[in-house]
Amino acid sequence: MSGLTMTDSDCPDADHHFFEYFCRKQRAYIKQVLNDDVIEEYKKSPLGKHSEPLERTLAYFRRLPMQLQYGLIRRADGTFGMIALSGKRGTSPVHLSDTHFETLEDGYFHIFLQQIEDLKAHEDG
Amino acid sequence: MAEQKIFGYANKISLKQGDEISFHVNCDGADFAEAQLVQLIHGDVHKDGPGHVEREIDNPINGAWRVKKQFTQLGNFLMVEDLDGLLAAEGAFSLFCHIWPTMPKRGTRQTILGRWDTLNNTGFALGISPQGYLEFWVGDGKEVDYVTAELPLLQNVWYFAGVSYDPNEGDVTLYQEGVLNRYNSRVGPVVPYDLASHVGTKFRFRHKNVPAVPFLIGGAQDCHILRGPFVSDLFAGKIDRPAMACKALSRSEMDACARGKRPSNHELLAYWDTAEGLGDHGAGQKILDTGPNELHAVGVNHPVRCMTGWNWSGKNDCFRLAPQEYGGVELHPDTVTNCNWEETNRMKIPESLKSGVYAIRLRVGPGKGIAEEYIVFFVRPKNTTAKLCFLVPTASYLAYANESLSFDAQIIQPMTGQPPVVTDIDIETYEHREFGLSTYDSYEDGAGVCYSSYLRPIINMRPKYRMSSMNITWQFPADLSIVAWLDHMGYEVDFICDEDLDREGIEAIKPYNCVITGTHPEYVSERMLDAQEDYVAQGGRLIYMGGNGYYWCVGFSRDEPETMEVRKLDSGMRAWAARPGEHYLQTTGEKSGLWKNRGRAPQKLLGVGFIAEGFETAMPFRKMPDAYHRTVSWITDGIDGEIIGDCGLAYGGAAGIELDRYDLKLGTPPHTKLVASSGGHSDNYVLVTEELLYAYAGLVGSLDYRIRGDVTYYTSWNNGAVFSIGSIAFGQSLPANEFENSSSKMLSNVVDAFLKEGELPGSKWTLEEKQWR
Repeated sequence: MSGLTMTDSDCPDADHHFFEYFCRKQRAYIKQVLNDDVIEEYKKSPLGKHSEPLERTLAYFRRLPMQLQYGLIRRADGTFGMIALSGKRGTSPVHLSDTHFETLEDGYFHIFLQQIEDLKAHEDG
Repeated sequence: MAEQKIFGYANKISLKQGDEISFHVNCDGADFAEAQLVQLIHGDVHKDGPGHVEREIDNPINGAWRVKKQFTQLGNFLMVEDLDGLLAAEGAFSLFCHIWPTMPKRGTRQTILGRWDTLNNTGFALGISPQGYLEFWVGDGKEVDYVTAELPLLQNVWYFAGVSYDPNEGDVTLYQEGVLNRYNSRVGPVVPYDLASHVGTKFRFRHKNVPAVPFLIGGAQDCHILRGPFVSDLFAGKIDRPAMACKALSRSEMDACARGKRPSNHELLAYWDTAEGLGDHGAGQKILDTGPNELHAVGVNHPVRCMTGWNWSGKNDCFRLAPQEYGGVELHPDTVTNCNWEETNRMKIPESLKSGVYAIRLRVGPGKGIAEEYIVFFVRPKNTTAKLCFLVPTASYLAYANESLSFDAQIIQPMTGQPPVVTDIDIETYEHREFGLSTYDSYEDGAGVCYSSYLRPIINMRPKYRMSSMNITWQFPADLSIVAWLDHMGYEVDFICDEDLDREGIEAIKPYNCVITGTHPEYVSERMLDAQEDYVAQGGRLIYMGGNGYYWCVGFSRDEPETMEVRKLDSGMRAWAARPGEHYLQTTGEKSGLWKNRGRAPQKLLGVGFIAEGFETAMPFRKMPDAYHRTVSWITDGIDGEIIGDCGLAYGGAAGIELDRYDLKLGTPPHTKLVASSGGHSDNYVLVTEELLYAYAGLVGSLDYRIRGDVTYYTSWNNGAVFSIGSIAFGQSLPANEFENSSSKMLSNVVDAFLKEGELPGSKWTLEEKQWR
């Protein structure tokens, strides 16, 4: 065989180039529409139907890579703590030990606030 | 003190009085566990229901059980029956096969085939180095000599791999040749890959054969001081027709083998013909050695057979059409279908124990979370007296067994519309992965899991458990809400499992006037479906209590009937997709996937079939005009107004999670009455993919009228009838308000009517147009 001969399959996946561009656009939109009313709307009703600004914000958060996702752990006493998912197969989530919520809704809301913080931490955010 | 954990399983889950059941328990941090036989009544600790309810039962088995740490063999491989050591070659030999490695760069050594002892470095093996290169090595107990290919193996590409070795001269030649064609590999022939490598060298010493070391395909023997012998260095990928020759094959002879030529018997020690025995009814776990010595190989942990081989031409989509193109046997280092733990205790099911849902509750230390285990089993009657039968959807329990979507599935939060809520049990199971995966998970190499068994702890087939991604009960613990309702209402009921129905057919349910299903009986075999269809046509009454039921076509393993197989393909709401050509069940030979795609849409038996799913809210049903028709108005007797099911433990409504719809085009019996429908669901509810031809915007709850659950009723021959709910959440609505609610009322109307012999209510009304009020 002449010319280029490949011996390894380790070629970079160019798909993430567009994914990063797409996420930048999403963050720019969310930055425009996110305000106290949207945050309050989520606090009042974390599950179910939402306004378009909140629905799009949640869609962005929910579709982030697994290593950027959060969850809750239900403790034996019925309270909740926040966890950060590893995104790495077989690796447990990290307990965010300073978190303690009496109710599920409280836990959902703090995840939402953390995701907003993460979004703002982006250089383009 | 070490953290205390306890997990276990039983050898059977469906038993009759007088049968024996054995329990297999693993415990960390304790030598004794407190055991108690309990009857399970309800399993959801939701504030709006009765909470967890169990009844302790006196039995000699109660008390302290001695428990210990047990070990699990992860991974599947083939073990060769070579009792006389015929493969412990001392003279020249060759090893060869076709391979399709799925994780060549896994970072650990992988053994393709050989007699290798990893602890003592004795024997020989052909395998893959931790860096991803084909390699052959020999050991004499002191040193190891290697010959390694020059080019790394590529993922999901077919190769021919072989080695010729003469230990007397030390001559060894490694042979690697690509056999990629237009269909069989991840990429096509246009990619300028260099796949071939031929390396010759001279080894410094000869291998040492130790009699106790087995010949394995896909792994090598290892040993641990506590655990004893086990298999490690597991191979990930497909192997096709591995063989061992009793001579050092020449380059031209290897070239011929690479093209598929089988050496003559006098040149062979063994030739495991992985394509042999693939018949109309599938294939078992035994792979025949068609060479001179008949050293057959047996699969451990269900290697997946009937997979496309190196020579798959792409023309035939089923192993039944071209078995010679289906020699692929797929191996995964992270699978397990049988933990094979030592027996901890056993019990004879007492004659006095009535049919029901039972468990051995085991507690160590604090007795909560991972320090508490319920080993669940179902007692069916030796002598039938009840007229009502609960058909326990154990096939569906197996499908979801130990699912870990919250941790691994990127799609799960968009699907469920909420963050997961996990417990220490979820994390413990996820970390250790020794209890195996569900058919909703994928292996480390990305392939979907097609086998699931109950010969392993199943953490989500226990009371109190909630599916973490949705924070509601699911499958077994959700079905306990129906069990609690039956108990509360005082019905005499027998419990029959899916596996009973699969093995015995209609005979298993024939004695009953009425059969009631679980909340989500999604996985059914042909025998199960046939039995229920015949049951209804012969006058039986079926109450379908679920959503997304009778959806996937499954088979049960012929070698280990505790194991179920499914292949997910083509269409449907599915966690993975089988690769082209691999759509047929090894266990039965049938095409798997959706029953709808085989001409048996759920609507044909149930009246309804899967239409939508959503996981963060639920709605009530509303009576439809047919509800007032005199043939069926008795169904909603005592329910004032139009609303049915406006409360429940699953998101507060009876219509939710997964929903089924009436559809004449898909086979709903034309005379079916549409009693009630839900609607107004959130946009987290999306249309199922199998309904899609073209996708377009708006296929969501608030915009598509089809997204709803339907309650339907139709009559069949001989006073048979089917009443269907079309919603998973309905079962969890029954216990709300101390079982005083409209869901409970409607269901009791139907159960009471179905239990009575003879004509059904409303059956005397026959003149359709005159029956309207």
